[in-house]
Amino acid sequence: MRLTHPNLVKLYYSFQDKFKLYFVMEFCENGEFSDFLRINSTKKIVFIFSLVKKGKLDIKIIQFYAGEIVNILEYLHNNGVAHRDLKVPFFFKL
Amino acid sequence: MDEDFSNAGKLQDPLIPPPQNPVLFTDDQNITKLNPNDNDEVSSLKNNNEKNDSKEENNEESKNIVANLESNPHLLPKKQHSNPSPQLKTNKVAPKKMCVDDFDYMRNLGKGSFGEVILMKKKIDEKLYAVKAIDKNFLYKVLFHFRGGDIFVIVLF
Repeated sequence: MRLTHPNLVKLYYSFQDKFKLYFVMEFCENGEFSDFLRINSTKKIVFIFSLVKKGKLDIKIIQFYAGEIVNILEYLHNNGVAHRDLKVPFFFKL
Repeated sequence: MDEDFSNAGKLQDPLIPPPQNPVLFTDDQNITKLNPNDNDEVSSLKNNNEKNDSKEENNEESKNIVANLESNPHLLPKKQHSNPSPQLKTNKVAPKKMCVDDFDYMRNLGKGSFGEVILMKKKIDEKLYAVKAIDKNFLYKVLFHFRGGDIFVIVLF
């Protein structure tokens, strides 16, 4: 079973050394999603809706990213995969 | 691609003569057009078999099989797909096997729970990839930890 989706980080090759296993994956140029939140809050990661209430973050942006997350989760669940460890550092910006 | 491979695998069957044109079995129109040419090749192959083997039984069997195949050529691709030769798998795996030397080190991207992630540039097409490198010794330790050294503990993979 091989899952491919534009919202999933692709795994291109995998090979091994004498000491290490290597997984060659897609490089997401724009960094982590948590960095995006830090820039918008100028602090550490804050609860997103508090940013919205203060007017620092537009709710349409959040709707977009939430929709992306729901999209990929729907795809995974339709293919019988449970993530089991969903958190902010696992999201990247393409 | 698959049909080309299947035609290559057919070479292993000694009784069935190999087709010279791999295009034969891709399109139904080509089969009807190219059948007379194929008959000539088959006759030449029969002569080769007589020279090499000098066994009448094999030739008779091959003639019977060839006659069956000529009457209904659609049997051929089905047989090939049901019996893929062991050479095919090695041919498919062998050409693309990467190693670390195919990449140039750029910088460290960060550390995950299992190992570090390195930004590397592929030497051939100069594209950037994120390479996750996991230490094998660390993996053995983690697996042993989950095993617990107890046989009676059920392991969840």
